[in-house]
Formats: sequence, C-alpha cells, structure tokens
Amino acid sequence: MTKRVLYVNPIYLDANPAIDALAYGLQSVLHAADIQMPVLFADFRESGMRKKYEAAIEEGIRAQVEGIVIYALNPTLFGEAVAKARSAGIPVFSFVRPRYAVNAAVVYPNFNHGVFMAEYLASVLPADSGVGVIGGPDTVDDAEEVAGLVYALKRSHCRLLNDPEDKHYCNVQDVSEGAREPTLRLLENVPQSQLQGLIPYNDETMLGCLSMLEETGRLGDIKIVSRNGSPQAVEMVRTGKTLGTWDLDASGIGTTLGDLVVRHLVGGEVLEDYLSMSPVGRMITLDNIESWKPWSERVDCTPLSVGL
Amino acid sequence: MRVLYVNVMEYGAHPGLDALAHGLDHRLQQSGIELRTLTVDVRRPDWIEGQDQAIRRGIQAGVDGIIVYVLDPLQPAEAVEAARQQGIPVFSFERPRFPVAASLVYPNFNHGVYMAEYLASLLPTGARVAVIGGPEVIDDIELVAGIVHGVRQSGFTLVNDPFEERYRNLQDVAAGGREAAQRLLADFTDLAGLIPFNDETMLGTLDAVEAAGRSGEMKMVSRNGSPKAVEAVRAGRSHGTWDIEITNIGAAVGNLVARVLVDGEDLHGESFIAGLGRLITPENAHTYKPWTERVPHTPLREGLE
Repeated sequence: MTKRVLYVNPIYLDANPAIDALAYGLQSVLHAADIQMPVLFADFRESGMRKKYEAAIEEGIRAQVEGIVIYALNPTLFGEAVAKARSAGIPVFSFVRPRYAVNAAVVYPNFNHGVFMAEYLASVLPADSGVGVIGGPDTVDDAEEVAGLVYALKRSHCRLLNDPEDKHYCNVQDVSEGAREPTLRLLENVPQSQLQGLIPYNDETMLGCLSMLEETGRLGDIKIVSRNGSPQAVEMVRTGKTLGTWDLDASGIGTTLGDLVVRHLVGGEVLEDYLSMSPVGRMITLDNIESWKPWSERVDCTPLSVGL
Repeated sequence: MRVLYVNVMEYGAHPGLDALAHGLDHRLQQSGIELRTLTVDVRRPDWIEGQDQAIRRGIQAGVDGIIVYVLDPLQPAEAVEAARQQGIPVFSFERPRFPVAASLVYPNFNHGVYMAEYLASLLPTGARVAVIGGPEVIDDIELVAGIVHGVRQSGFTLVNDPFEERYRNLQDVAAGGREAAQRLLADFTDLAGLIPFNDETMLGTLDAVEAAGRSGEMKMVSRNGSPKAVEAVRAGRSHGTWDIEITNIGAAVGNLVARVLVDGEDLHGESFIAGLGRLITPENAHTYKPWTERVPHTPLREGLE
C-alpha cells in the first residue's frame, strides 16, 4: 500500500512563492519514493491559526497517515498535537527546529543569510551610508535572519537606521501588502538624505517596499537587497529595481526534509531529533542572473493534493 | 596532486583544529590528493603576514590547490588573489569577502541558539546566566551571537557582555579560558548557568570554578564535542557539549577540493554549509565516538619539500 505523509502548510498557495516552492520540493522527493503527500492548510495570518493547525495534525492522526510534516513557526507551538501523533506511532518531521521532540527537522542558516545579504549591500555602498531594515513576523527563521542583518550591518562601514525588531518596522503579515506601512513609516522617520540602502527581510516584503517607494517617488534613490530568490524578485533584479535577492533554494529546503522522511519511512533508519541543514544558497545579482533557474524547473511541481 | 592547507594553530594546541585537519587529510587521500600543511599560529602577532608568506610558498612550490582558514573575512586577500592569478584554486573554511573557488560556512549561530535552549531546559526562566566569549574570529563571534540570542529568547538574565574583553578567551586555549572565568567569577556570584563558548574554554573554566570553591553551583554547556568535554559531561562536571562533528567539517572542504581538482567542476565561488551536529548530554554520551575513531589520525605532513 502506498504510504501517505500529511503536510500542514502554514500559508495558502500563491501567498508566498517560497513556501509554495518548499512544498513542491518536499512533494517531489516523496513522490519519487512512492509516498503520497496530502496537504491541509492552516494559514498563520488567520485568527485561531493555532487551533486550526493542531486540528489538522489531529485529522492526520485520525486518518492514520504514515507521517506528518509541520512548519514550526514558533518553537513552542503545536507541541501537544505533535506529541499525540508520536504517541500514536506517527513520526513527525519539521521545517525549522521546534523545542519539543520530533523525528527530524531541517534547520535554515538564516543568520548566515542575513550576514551575507548585509555584507553584499555594504560592499556596494560608500562608508557611512544609512541602511534601513524591514523585519518580518516573529517566527524563528525570520528573527534569526534579522539578527544576521543587524549583526553584519553593525560590523560594516554602514549605519543601521532603525530597529527591525520594533513591530512598527516589521511586515508581520509576511505578504507584500504588509510591507507598505512599515516602509512608509521608515521613509517618514528617516531624512531622505540619510537613507542609501534598504533590506526588506524577504522578497514579498521587498515587493511591498517597491510599491511604496514608487508611490512616494523614491524609487531609484535606494539600493535594495532581499531574501528568497523568488521569480518576481529576480525580475526586479533584472529590471534594476533591486540589486540582489538571496536565493535560499526554497525547493532545496523541501527536498532536504523530503530526504529525511524517506530515510525514516522507506530506508528504515530510525531518526529521532535528527537535524539537517538546508542549502546555504547564493546571491542573485545582474552578474549571475542568467544562471538562475525558476523553482518550477528545479523540482516537479505537480499540483498539491489538498485534503485527506 | 598536492594541496596546501595553511593551518592556524600548532598541532596539539587545539584538538578540534587537529581533528579538522585529519578529516580534511582523510577525505583528500580518498581522492588521491596529498595534503601538505604550513602552520602559522594565529596567536602570533604577525600571523597575517605569516599566512601571506605561506600561501606564496605554496604558489612557488606549484601546489594544485590551497586551503585557508578565514579568521578575518578580509585576510589574506592579496596572497589568495596571487594564487588565483596563477591558476591555483583556493578554498576556505568560513567565507571570506574576497573571491575563492568555494567556501564552507558553519551554522555557528544555530549552535549557539541550541546550546542556550538546552540550558533553558535545565534551568528556570529568569535564571542568571553568564557567557564567556572567544577571540575575534568569524565563527566564534557568530557562535557567541547565537548564544546571546538564545539566552535572551529563553528568558534568562544574561549577567555579562561576552563581547567585552574581560569576559573573553582571546587565546582560544584552556589557559585563556581559565583566566576569563576567574575574572567572571570574581564579578558575579550565584550563577545558575554558564556557557563557555567552546570546550577548551570550558576546561579552563572548570579549573577556575574548582579553585574558587564554586563547583556544582552552575550548569554548564559548551561547544565542539571534544573528547575531554565529553569526559566532563560523563563525570557530571559539565552538562553538555555541542558536537560539531569537526572531522566532517574537514571532510566537507576536502570534498569541495576533490570536486574541483578531480571532477573538474566549477563551483562558481559559492558557499556550502557544514552539518549541524548534535548535543552530547549525560543521556546520550554513550553514543559518542572520539574524533580519533572517526577518521585515521595519520601524522600530517608539515612543509612543502
């Protein structure tokens, strides 16, 4: 009988292309091992998300799936539901490492990404340039990336102009629309002459920043880098609206976790609290843009099968 | 083929660095590549000049590749560029801000976060915790940044600034750890937790804690997974050491070298990441394998003659 592994996706399709690519990467490896991947959604932007997410895990337990994949948005969320699944003999795998037991987790080098993005921006800005950072929601991976950005900017010849951990400068919704208000706040609070660089923590945020810069007539004034390497962000690099996007190889993150699931379910390895790093990725700039490949060309993107 | 590794500490001074070199050597041997080392101890004040000279000696000797350990992301840029001009690919442990054929970065920050989180599982929220920092090199600074991030996220009270010189083991050997710990213990009483950034520092710290008559006062976790640190965990003197699987780090760079020199791949100057490792605790210490049992410790060949 074909095995089934439930993936509880933390955001609806098309809202964040990187999260979509991650799901397709996971699915491609599972399909190659003849494992089905039904998907349930519990969008973290909606109220009652925690209950919905836990309910989805419990639905998987009732359906007696052979494994469950979660996204640990917060390291302590979903602990009880996961423990229940494991007690029922269902192994649980996680994107991002939670603070409770799972069989295996993929960890992202978020801090390193932040450092490399800030170093790249600093390398193209003159000494004493001012740089603003738009942070993200308070999830593990976003907070670590922002920590890397802050760390590297403080050690660079640039000046960090705002506190990206301050909610007023964060895109807490993690979609492009959510970046407009914090960007406007930054533009209003920082004198135009001081803002030479901007780092929206991810590509979706960058798209919102660009629309606000366009509306305020500031597009072209400020050098920008962001993270994810999404198709739209690469297009912005190509058209000169931004300088670079850190391609974190989102589909590769999915395949990394998929490999762990297959090792456990098919290979017979018993993984317990096993950790694996996702690829570090690379900066996509005008210099190497021709070598960039859309995620859809990296893994098989068969439409996800929704529901159990 | 011969590849030069510019080692950063005299053999025997830092078991982790020795194990890393053996992991590298072993992986290169598997691809038929001979490893030669030139050691420039970074505790020397003129180490930057020394690294530069070592690389230039490698160029003169016509080695097929050069490996450097990047401590300062801006050094040794000129000598590396000279090697590359001669068509010699250069690889690096950690990522420099100048071009190389490929580099391996470490998830130092993640290590630090997980060490702090482990301590959080042993101590109550708000507990007083101190951190001893390390030298001004990339991986140690990132590790300490992760420890601080993890300590804060875990709701501890961080009593000191591990980036302040007084609380750092700048020499990166046990003796330096003892001195930093003596200063820390003199400044703070009633510590529930202590994180010496690495195992060598922890060993020095243990001496200082004992000499101060404060054994058993605080729970401790450090990084590297060295045999002596695991021994301390088994003896109940420390509570955990993050095993970074250092021989695998050496092997990972050896793998990049083999991909370029043997397989002819162009790695486009990209960065790759080392494995994460795992925490060794009293519960799983029996599964720990000493570094000497992970790869053969064939004596390294110092010199280019």
